[in-house]
Amino acid sequence: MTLAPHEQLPDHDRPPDPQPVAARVRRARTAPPWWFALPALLLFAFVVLVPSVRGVHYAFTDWDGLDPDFSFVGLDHFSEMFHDADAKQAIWHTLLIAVSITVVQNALGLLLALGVDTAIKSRNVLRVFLFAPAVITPIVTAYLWRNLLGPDGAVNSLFGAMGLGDWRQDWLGSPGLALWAVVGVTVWQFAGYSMVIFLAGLQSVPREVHEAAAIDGAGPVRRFWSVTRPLLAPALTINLMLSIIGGIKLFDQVYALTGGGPGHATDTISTLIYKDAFTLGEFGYSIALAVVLTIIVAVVSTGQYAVLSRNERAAS
Amino acid sequence: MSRYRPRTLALELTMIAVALVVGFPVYVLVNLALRPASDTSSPISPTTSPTFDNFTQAWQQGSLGGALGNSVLVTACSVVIVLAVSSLAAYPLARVTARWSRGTYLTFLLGLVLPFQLASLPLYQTMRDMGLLGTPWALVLFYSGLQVPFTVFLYVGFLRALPRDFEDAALIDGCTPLQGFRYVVLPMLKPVTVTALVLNAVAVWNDFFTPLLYLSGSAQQTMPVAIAGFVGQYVTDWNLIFAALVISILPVLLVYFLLQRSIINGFAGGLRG
Amino acid sequence: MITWRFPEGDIMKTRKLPVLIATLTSVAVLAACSGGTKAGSEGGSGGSKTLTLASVDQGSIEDVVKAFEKANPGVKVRYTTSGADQYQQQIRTQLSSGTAPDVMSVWPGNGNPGATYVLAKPGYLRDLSDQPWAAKMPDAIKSVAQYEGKTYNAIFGQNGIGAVYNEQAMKKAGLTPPETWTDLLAFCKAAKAKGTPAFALGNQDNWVTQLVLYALVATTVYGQDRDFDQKMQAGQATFAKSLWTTALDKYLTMEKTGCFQKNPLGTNYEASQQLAATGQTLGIVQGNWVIALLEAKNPKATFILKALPANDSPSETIIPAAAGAGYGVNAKAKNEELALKFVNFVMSPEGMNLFVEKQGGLPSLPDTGFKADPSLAELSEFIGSDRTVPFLDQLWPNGKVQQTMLSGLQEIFSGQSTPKKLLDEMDADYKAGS
Repeated sequence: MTLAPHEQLPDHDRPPDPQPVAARVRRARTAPPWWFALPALLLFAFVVLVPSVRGVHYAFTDWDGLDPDFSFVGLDHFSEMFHDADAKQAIWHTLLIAVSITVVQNALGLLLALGVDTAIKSRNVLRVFLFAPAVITPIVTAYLWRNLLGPDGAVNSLFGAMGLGDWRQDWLGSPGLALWAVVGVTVWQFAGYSMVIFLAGLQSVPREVHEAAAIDGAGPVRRFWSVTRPLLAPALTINLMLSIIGGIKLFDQVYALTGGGPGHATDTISTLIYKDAFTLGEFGYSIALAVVLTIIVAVVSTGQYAVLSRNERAAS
Repeated sequence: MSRYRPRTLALELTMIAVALVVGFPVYVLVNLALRPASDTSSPISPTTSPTFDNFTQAWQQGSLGGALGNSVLVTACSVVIVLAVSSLAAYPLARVTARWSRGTYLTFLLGLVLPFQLASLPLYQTMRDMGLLGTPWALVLFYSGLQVPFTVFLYVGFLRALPRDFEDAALIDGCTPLQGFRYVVLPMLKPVTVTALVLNAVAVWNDFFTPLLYLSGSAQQTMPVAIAGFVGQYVTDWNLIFAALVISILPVLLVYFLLQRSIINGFAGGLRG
Repeated sequence: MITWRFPEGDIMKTRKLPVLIATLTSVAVLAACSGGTKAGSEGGSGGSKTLTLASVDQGSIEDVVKAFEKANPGVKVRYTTSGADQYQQQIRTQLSSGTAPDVMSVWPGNGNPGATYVLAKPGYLRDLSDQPWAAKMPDAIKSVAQYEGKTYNAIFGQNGIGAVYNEQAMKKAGLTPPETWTDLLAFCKAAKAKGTPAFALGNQDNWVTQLVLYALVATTVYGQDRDFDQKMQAGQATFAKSLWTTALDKYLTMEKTGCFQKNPLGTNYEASQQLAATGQTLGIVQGNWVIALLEAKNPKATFILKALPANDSPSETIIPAAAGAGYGVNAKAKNEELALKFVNFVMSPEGMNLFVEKQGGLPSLPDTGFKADPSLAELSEFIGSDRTVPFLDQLWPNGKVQQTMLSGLQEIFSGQSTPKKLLDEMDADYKAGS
């Protein structure tokens, strides 16, 4: 009742003569115009689209990122990738990390959001607390976790104190565990991020609908399933898309936590792109890897998006 | 809103427990920031003689005052521009089903997919040619474009799920589309706007490499660059760094806290009632 | 300033937000306008009094800049500092875009994306051969400061790798630094038996993995053959068919004998310092730069650097010692005069001593009157009697050889690879050339 649209409009904005109903409906259908998208499109084109297109050609050169003298090598870099064991391994790690992060982070994020979207008194403080990890720069979270996950770190001490001595592990030092440690730390950092987006969804769910369902005698689980879940569909789509894309592109967390090691056990496409471009001076090859990364993200996210939009339509 | 029952109390305690687990590393961070470098006891045990020395030292040594000003400026300008252009763009993209609308939307989504490594060098050289390097404007322009795809995606996703009745009513009443957007659509999108504001602010606020590159050679720097000034390859005083870090994350968390308070109690429900 | 307080009513809340945002924005935009123009005028036409600089010497460059500004009144140095990774990314982007600062950190030799050969070859660095200090550089330093006979890098300091012992912990354990390979293994066993392993090893940070190996290779390979690098360059030698295999073997023997603490791959550089500083290990195999860090972590302890023995004749022991990162001048420097003034200041006794004292190293030029810390006496002596070899990667043809070695060593420690496989891969990368 606060912002009923009619009351918001100054009187002189209203048309002087009431028109026939049919004409009004026709006018309603004409909104909104295409040029609304123009400012965003121009900014986006200037900063992302045009430079990206201009940057792609390096993928077909042997440029080292420095020497003005370089030549075109065609598709050499791409055929090279098929023989690059590091690259193939990195693609596998990337997909593994992306899928696990997407599943766990969103499950946790949703639970957190449901938990703090209630009548509990500490909700505002808790929201900030749970979101806090997402605000800290990866260099520092990595520093903290490298100590917490060390052989004598807090995590192992905790297991020891709880009588779970067998659970103590060399988390970042064993090739089999390091990847999961990266997933764990990333989920820790971004569960609150997903929570914030789910909260936006929950806050868009009208209370009346909930209350009506409660009066109808629906239990909390049914209420969630039949009322909240369909209305959460957009937030879910957004979260799943952002986390799968972010997971595939994940760089900072991996690089700061393990540097891709031990050995290549946690190398992802993004850490390889970085190392190739700036540690090894193989700029051309790194851009070729970036092109492959784009294709992988595009394929995976398009597939996921298609499924999600179908569900969203079915839900609404 | 439902009443406070015993079950709510149980939930409250559970959530606090969860927050403590999640917040544990943050506790370590603050704990270390409060202790002198000479105190080498376990990072977990509470500091016996807490001191604010690290904070004052970080503030002075890192010239964090100026850096904070630059960071606030760049973040505020970029976020406002991104929110304005993205919400406006989302309106037709969510409502119009014509081919151009769908195509434009997909183009924006492509921006989410593209790895930034592709654009990084050509964009830097364009900024150089425009003479923007060394000024905060280059950063504002950079983030305003970079964050558009994410923000458009957020707005379109939520807007599609909102009913069109109110806009249609407003248009029937003779509103121009721009008025309809300003007085009807935007208010409905408030929870999304708050979310987009905070998430964009975090992204812009924390970015390290772009300001390092774009502002190098000028007298200006942003918070992450100033803080990185403490972190040496061989010399590291983490207690000091953590103090600087706590200073740097507080503004963002404060903004989120205040904005969250402003939209509790289901704003959108109020609108529909 | 705005009061951050939202009244309880819904209406107020919804109205306040846009007002708040609008206010903040206008404040910010106003500030931006003034800030932006200020930067433009200062940066663009600063002229003869402003020098731009990018450095990796965090923790020491700050003092050198201060001293330089004091010695040259009216001069202002605009500098950025960053870690090696970010610096390499920054400087390559700026060089290829023509926006690089007047003076920049440059690593010695080759095999690193910010090294002398790499930056001098495409013509990005100014020839510094005409500067007074260029001719005075000792040969070992000259070889990595020059490219095709011309000097491009003002290298001010040098460092060595050895065993750094915690003297109090050694005393408590009743042990003395070993001088032969046999002694070393006995030392490791005795230390382990006392519950304090001999050396801390922080192999989680992959650059650390190479240090023990370098210390062993110096004596094992170069003790027999000082011309090994020339033979590698001429294609007459390989890693896999040289004494590198012996050195690598010795590294693993040390691991098996218990010379290092448990879980080296889960231990990072920082944690390894903590172990050695607090006497949980008797020492650490590292560069001399670690001593200042150990002292910061435990001000009561004293430390000493000794050569790490790798065979049983102590007179053959060689220390890996080499030039650290220096400074190069941009070939297209906006302020060349001031840039040269700055590198000459860095190479003057005042600048050089300030730098190396802060970094805990040794000066690159003789006769600067520098009084080395007693902990570095052995390193000084080895350098003086020419019993050193450069860090091994400085003369490798590309960065890949070293990267392969670093991740390969981690893989060997975690059982994913073998010494033979690693050396073969390094040979393949070496042959791929520059």
